[in-house]
Amino acid sequence: MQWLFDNPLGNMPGPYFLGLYGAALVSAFVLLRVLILRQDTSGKLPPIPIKGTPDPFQIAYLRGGTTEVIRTTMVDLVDRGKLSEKKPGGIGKWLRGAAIKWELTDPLDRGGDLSAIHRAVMDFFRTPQKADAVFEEPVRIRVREQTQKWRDWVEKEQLEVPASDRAWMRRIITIAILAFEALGAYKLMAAWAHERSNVFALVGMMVVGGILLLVAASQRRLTVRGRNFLADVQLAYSSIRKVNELEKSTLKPQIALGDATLPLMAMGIFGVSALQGSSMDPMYRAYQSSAMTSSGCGGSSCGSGSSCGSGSTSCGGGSGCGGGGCGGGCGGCGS
Amino acid sequence: MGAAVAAAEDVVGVAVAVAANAVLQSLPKLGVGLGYRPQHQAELFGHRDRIAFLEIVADHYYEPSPIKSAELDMLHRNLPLIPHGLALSLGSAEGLDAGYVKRFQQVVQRVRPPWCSDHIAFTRAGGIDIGHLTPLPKTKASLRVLHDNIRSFQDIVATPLILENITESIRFPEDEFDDAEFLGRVCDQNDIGLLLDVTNLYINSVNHGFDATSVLHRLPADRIVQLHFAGGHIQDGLWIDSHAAPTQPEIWDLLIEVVKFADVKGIILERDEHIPPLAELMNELERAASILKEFGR
Repeated sequence: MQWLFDNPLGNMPGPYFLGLYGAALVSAFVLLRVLILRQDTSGKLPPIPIKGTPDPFQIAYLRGGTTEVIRTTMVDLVDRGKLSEKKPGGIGKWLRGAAIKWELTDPLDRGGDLSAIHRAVMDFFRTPQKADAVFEEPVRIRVREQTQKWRDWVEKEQLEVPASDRAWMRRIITIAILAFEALGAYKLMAAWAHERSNVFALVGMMVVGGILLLVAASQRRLTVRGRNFLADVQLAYSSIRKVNELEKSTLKPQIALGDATLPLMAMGIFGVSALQGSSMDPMYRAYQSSAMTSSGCGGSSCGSGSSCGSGSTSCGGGSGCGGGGCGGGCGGCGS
Repeated sequence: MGAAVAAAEDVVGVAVAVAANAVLQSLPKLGVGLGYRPQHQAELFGHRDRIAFLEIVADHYYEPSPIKSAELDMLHRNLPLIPHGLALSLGSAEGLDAGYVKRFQQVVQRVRPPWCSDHIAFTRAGGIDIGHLTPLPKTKASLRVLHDNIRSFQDIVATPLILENITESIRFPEDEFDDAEFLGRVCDQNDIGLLLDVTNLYINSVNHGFDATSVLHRLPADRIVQLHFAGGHIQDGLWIDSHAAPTQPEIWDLLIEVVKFADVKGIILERDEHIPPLAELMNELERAASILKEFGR
């Protein structure tokens, strides 16, 4: 067994090994980034033009999949007066953190003139429910069935990194990280076998290197083409990013909203952050809290293009990917 | 000696004119578009099917902020763009501002337009920015200055250049050419196209007492690449090119004459003041498009 640690690698002096280890880390980091970038060839395709007034639900799907479609639908229902806040009564109103629930204004309203997505959400709120409970599987599954046309769209237009590519990348990333950590662990054992205890730099490098490789491996849900399209829509409609300011202003910007209302369009394009301080603020607050308790890609931290949510099927767990305002690639709930 | 030089210049001009036809004729037909103003950004795409292209003010994207840069990319990804410069100052005897030309070229490189444009004017003299498009005396000396500056510009920017006629608040006593001859010579001698501002032509004709249609018919039709039109207003008996009102009937009539006369590649509606909702401008765009269609352009 002596050969196991008594070889050129096991006997390599610490500083030299750290140099080698660092070089391996940099190589793996660069390799992973190159692989991820090369995997996305959508940037070579012509850009997608913004044709007419955007469909807020379609853009919501692009931003964050089924979760964002459900949120946008809720905003639309509140805007239509079909859904409203039910504040806690009795002793509950004196308790901090008492749950605010939402319910249909008219429990008998079947939403016959609305879409199947609207009806699925309405059915859930026939009895008072917390806002973030709507992301649980029964509603999600019903809504997901109705988002097939947008799934087909993102697939056909190569706006989203395919699930198969993401799975393949996850395997590569796992192998890279395991190999890196295994090399460090081997040297650690060799150091102990040689009765050396000065291993802090190595341990630090193993930890930092692992984190760096995870960062290198972060993969955006949307492709370059998808991000560009979303960025274009968001820029074109940047004047409605803050609904509260527009509601207060006497000078209304000239905006093509089509059949949508201002809050609905803002929600669809920018997410729930656009509603902060507006007449839809309760909706913002409802999802802001769900974002903060979310274990997935939370609202405020979910910057454009983050890799939150690696799952390709469902966020699960109810809260899903939170706050919603995220631009380029969050909402990796994938569904 | 002077006569010989002039004759030689004319021969060169004719040779250039013949060669130019191929380049200008090969430019794509863009249709009817709008002078882009950021106020219309959110509304633009609701009318996307009726806006064939946008003319952007190139100067607004020189060393752009991240937001302006993203705006330029967004517009470029969605519509054909024509960069229109305001201050190349091709009529400046002191030559071009190399820094300005470089910035103009950077915008051209980013949006890769079929052509780009500026004005037959000067905006800078003695190193001082006048801040206004100033007319040139219509003389051979002005033609030489323009020639030198256009050559310098084309050494850096390969994209075909077209130049716009401006409104002229003054006329120079030393003018050697009338409007038609001067514009024709600028285009022919420099192998460039004309961006005919129909409103400017009309306003000059009224303010300086000439017949716009007869000037039009003496212009080189095959060099008229693009048109501008807009509404003006009358102040103290003078027409002002204010871009502040719907296009007046007289200007529409002249626009029809131009489209009959020349196989134009694009028409741009300009509006810079009292900017109405885009839906109102769409009526004017549709009317211009129907004129193009009526004459098979």
